[in-house]
Amino acid sequence: MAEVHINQITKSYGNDQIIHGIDINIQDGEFIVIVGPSGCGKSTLLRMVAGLETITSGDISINNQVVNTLEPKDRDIAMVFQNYALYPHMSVFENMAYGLKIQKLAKSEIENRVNNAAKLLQISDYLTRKPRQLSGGQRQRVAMGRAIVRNPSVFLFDEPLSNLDAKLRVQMRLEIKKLQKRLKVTSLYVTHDQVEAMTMADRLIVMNKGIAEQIGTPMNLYEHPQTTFVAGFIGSPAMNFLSVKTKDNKIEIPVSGKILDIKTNIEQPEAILGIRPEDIEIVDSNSSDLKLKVSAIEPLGADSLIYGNSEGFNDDLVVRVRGKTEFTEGDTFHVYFKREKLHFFHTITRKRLQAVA
Amino acid sequence: MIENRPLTTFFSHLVLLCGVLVVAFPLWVTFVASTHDAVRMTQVPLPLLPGNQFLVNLKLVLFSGLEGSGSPPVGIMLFNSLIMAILIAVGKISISLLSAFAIVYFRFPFRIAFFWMIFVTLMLPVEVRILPTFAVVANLNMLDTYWGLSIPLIASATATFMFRQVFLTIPDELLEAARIDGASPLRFFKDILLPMSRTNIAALFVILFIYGWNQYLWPLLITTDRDMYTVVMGISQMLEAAEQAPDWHLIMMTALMAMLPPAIVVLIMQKLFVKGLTETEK
Amino acid sequence: MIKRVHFNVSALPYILVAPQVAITIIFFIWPATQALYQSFLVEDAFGLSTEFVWFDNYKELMNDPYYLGAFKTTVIFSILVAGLSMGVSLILAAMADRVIKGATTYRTLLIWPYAVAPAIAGALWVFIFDPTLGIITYIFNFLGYSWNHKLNGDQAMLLVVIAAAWKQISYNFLFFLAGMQAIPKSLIEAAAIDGAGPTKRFWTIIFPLISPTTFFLLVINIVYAFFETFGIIHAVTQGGPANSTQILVYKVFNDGFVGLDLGGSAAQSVILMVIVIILTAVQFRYVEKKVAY
Repeated sequence: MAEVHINQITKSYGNDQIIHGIDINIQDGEFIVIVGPSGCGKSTLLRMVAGLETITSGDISINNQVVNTLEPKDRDIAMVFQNYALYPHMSVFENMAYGLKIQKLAKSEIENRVNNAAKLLQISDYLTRKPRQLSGGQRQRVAMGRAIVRNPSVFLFDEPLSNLDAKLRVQMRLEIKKLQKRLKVTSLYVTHDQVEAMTMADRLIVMNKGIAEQIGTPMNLYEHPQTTFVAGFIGSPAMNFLSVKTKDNKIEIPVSGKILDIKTNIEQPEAILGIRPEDIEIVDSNSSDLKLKVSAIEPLGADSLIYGNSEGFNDDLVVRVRGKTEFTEGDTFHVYFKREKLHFFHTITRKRLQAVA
Repeated sequence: MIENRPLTTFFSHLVLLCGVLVVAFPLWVTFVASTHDAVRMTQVPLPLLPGNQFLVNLKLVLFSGLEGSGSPPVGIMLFNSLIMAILIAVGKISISLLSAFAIVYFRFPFRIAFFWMIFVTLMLPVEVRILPTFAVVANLNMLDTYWGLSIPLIASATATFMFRQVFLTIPDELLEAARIDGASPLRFFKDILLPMSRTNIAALFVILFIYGWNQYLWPLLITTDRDMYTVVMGISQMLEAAEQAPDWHLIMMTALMAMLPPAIVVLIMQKLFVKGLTETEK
Repeated sequence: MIKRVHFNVSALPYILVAPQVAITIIFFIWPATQALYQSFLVEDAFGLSTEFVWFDNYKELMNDPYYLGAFKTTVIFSILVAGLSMGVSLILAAMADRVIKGATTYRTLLIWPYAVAPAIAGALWVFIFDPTLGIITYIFNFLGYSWNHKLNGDQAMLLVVIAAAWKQISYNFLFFLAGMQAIPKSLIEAAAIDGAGPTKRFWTIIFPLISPTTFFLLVINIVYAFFETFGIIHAVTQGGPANSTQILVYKVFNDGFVGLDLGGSAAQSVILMVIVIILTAVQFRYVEKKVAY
């Protein structure tokens, strides 16, 4: 059990800075997910916590002890790798026991811990097998087991589910989450999959180009994204963005000329309006904010996505409706933006503007 | 085959059989010679079918050797060859494993210089530096010793490259996992790298054992004590002696003894051997 | 190429490379530089004084008909060995590639000569061709052809070529067969559908596709004939009769160890080194692409 403090961490390879000062205080037992597109620096950050990458500047402390220069083995952490990194020539038991053997634990203690972890992960029947005789999901469990037996203060997960097929991924993410709640071990989990991030995290760190764009609970990020990047990254399908003009503390949608009946105190003449597909309603022409022409329909079963276009748009606007839709390609329809669900962002800084006064 | 042509298939087998026979012919003749007595082996034409003196000849050669040739009993020479072959194979594999490990898993000043230094050995076969190498070994008092027979031959660029290739294919995450598990570099080498390279080690052992066993020029240079002779070089002395007294039945028995151990190794470990050969050299 | 992840230890890697590097320096690089140095020296007949003579030893070699003769002998020997061995192996491999059943059995029956030392190979063949007792000699006599490699230089050359090529067949066969089996079957099938018969397929599809293997083997066989056949020459002909089988490696040995001409032998060593370096460079430049830094 431990708190992890990451304080103004940076990382550079030569002149190439890839992490630009990240700060986060992780509470004991918290499940933190670091999410972002590939190349955003999320794995590097995790590996710095693990001690597999050096820290250019800043501090990382685990249990109130600065670990910057400690070897990985001395940081009281355990890590689960994307490709599992199981030792191919060792049995499942030996894989899980290897770290304990190096710690020179008593044989009975090692057996005890391995057997308990195996039971917890339901891999007791496979202890004598070699990794190549296991399925992807089983290997994943062994990799978890190897982390659990160490009784670490912190679990580090580096995209542990990305080598599994979709169905297994859903199952394993639930199990990992349950396991973590049960063991109450502080965890850092790296993924590029925002669904995984939303469903698992107590708090999320959304990273982009070496910067933490926003840190917060999943719902907080969903409801109050602080940048267009977070707004677009969290939620699927992504939030719609429209360029709007501000006039006399009012918002005008240039395409339709509609002036939204909300007050703002945005000072800039232009802004970006963000609205999630589920926050758009289909209405009759009386209460229309915008008239759209259907360019494509995607039925998802429970929901349907309607892609609508209008002259002057670069991208389609996505609308999510419940169940089936009667529309077909080429139909026109009217939409209404739920006023309380509108987000506004600065056109240049792309940061959130407090729009509604 | 693509199309069914019994005649061409038959022809292929015929050519292959001829090839096998031509390749095996010297072996057969050698074997037959080793089974006859001295008298029969001076009568033209020589026999093409085995006689009954095999065990007699074997015993004579192993324990007494060939009189007048200046070589010791073949038993001693076989033993020397065995020691030399094993020392060379084990030595080459050991030092190559260590240097490949250093070159792949550490970043240190002069790393590339060392790499090229090892590479250079590829270009300096013993045949082109005979005299000065002999002088070095003489100065180190290693003439007529097993160390002198083996150590100067155990630097190996080929083996180092092969292990380097093997190590490069081992995923980085295994090293990271081992570091998190707390394994020191040597522990990682012993617990992870060695077991993961064991087929390559075995395959290389076959090739290097044969290489060591078949050394000829080097033992010829540095052994003057007949008790240090190896069987492959011993054969040349017997051939010289054959000018006066052609004891072909004993010479051929010795030749048989000299080629049997490496041939058996090749045949038993055929799969590993083929794998090793094509992977080190290609 | 190096791993992304490393150990951070200071002294250990040096200790790890130390044995290999020490042996390399003591037994390879130092003797080689010695050879280079000695090749510029002349020693008097009693070994009492030495004189630095720059390239005189090399000039002398270039004007020495025996040395030039040995050079020519080596080239002829190498061409014959490589040609004979690779030719036979290619035919055998092509046949083994054709037959489905028994390819591995044939491989087993053909690879064991790899294990035979060159000197032993020489002993086997010299027995078969013994001028008085040899089985082949007997057949030759029967056919009215007289064989005595101890007197006839061409016959001596033929004998060492046969012995050297015989030993190398297994190696070439293995590589040719591996090369042929690596060709996708679909290519051969496509050619068969296009109406190409087995012979035509061999020359238009298989042979061009294994050309990297062929080139690789050519270099290997030349290196083999140049350097590794010492045992055969030494055991079978001792370079004779009348220097007809004296190849360069044998002459270095003979001049240095038997003739005790240190400077001349060293100069010959250096020339051989240059040849190895060129051959190795060719091999790595055109064949092996794996040493990439």
